[in-house]
Amino acid sequence: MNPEFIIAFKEVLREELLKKNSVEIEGLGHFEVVHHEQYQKRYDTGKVLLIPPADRLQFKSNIRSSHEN
Amino acid sequence: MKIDKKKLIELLVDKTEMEQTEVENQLDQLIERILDAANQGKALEIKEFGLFYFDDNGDLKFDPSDELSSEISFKYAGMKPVIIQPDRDSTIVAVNDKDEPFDQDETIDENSDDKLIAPDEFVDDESTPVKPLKIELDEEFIAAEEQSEEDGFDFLTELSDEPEPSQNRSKVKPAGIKPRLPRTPVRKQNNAAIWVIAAIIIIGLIGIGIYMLFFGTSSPPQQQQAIVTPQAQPGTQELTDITDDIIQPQETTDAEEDTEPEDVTEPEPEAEVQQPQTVPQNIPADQPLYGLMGVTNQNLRNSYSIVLHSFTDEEIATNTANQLALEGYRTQVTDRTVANNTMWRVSVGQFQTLNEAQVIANTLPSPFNTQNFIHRIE
Repeated sequence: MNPEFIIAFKEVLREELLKKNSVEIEGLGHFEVVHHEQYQKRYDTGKVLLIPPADRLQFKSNIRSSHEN
Repeated sequence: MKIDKKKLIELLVDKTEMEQTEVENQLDQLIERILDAANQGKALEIKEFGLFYFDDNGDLKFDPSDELSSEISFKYAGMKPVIIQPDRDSTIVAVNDKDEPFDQDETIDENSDDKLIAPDEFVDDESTPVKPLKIELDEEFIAAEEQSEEDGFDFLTELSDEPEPSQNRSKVKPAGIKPRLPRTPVRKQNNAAIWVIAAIIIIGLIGIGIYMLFFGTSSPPQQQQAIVTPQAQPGTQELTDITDDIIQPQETTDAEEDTEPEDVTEPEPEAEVQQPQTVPQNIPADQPLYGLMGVTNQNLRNSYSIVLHSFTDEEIATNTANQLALEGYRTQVTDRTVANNTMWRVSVGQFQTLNEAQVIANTLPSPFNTQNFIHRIE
């Protein structure tokens, strides 16, 4: 494969995801940035933690290995 | 905005200046290679982007690389979970209760050892519920926090290893009565050392007393005069300056004593209470110590603040903070460096507790009521 294409592929996806755009690649899957708000996590021991917010990359795909086989 | 395959190909053509058909071929090849590798039970990694693989259920998965994850969640990089409420202390009591019958025949010193052992056992009991926290941390801060999380994990594992010696200590305790015997000589040595030190101090004091008797000059009276009449004698300015420097924290009380010469005893406690408010010059006298609106009290420590913005440019952060200050908010700009990248955070309000900050954060105008986080200013 052309290394220039791989580099461009990474850069384009990174740029679009940083803009909070979702990227749908037919035949592969769907990339999307999901925001997780802060929340409180309670343990049985009584400890309560405030988990800070985060943006996470989520990937969903309908492709299964059995489908390819 | 959604980028579909067609739009993606356009962007790739712009980026690479390759022909569209070639980009389409390259993209198809890439997808094919990903799926081929995954079907062979292998994972295909695109460096600094991520890893494609089939999981146990046969679903295609993608794990973003640390670099990509940190870039995507860069706004929140470096944030760690905050303990709102610690573990219950009841477990410590339970441990002590279990040990009590064991210690009935033992002395007070043995009981004090129990108190030292209890926290270790407490940590041991809590090690299993804490482990999921590591998983949670990994999910929350994938890249930027990796190093610190590893440290944290090591810390937890160290803690989980600790109970073994503590258990040994508790198991050994019945036989631990023997080691009590050598303890008393150690105390005697300490007592002897204390006596020697006391004797040296007494001899020194006697020597100073003798020195004062024979060589005591008129200098002490001069100091007394300087302290008693600091304003009357210009010739003793040096001494008065020194005393002023030493008594600097009480400057406000001296000033108030000047304005109210007859009240000698009462103004002092009032001045002590008002002292924190008089230090910052621009803060209105009636402004409460904590709150969302008003003038930022720079002297407040260990307070909580609501972060609304994170910038990579300090100037933009400062300008934003100034705008918020014009709207009447208490604003602060703090920097945070993670993975050699410095973020400038703009936060509003000063709150005594985390809960107060959370309650106020929910009342902020949209979108800040949901897009915020709270950090601690130390």
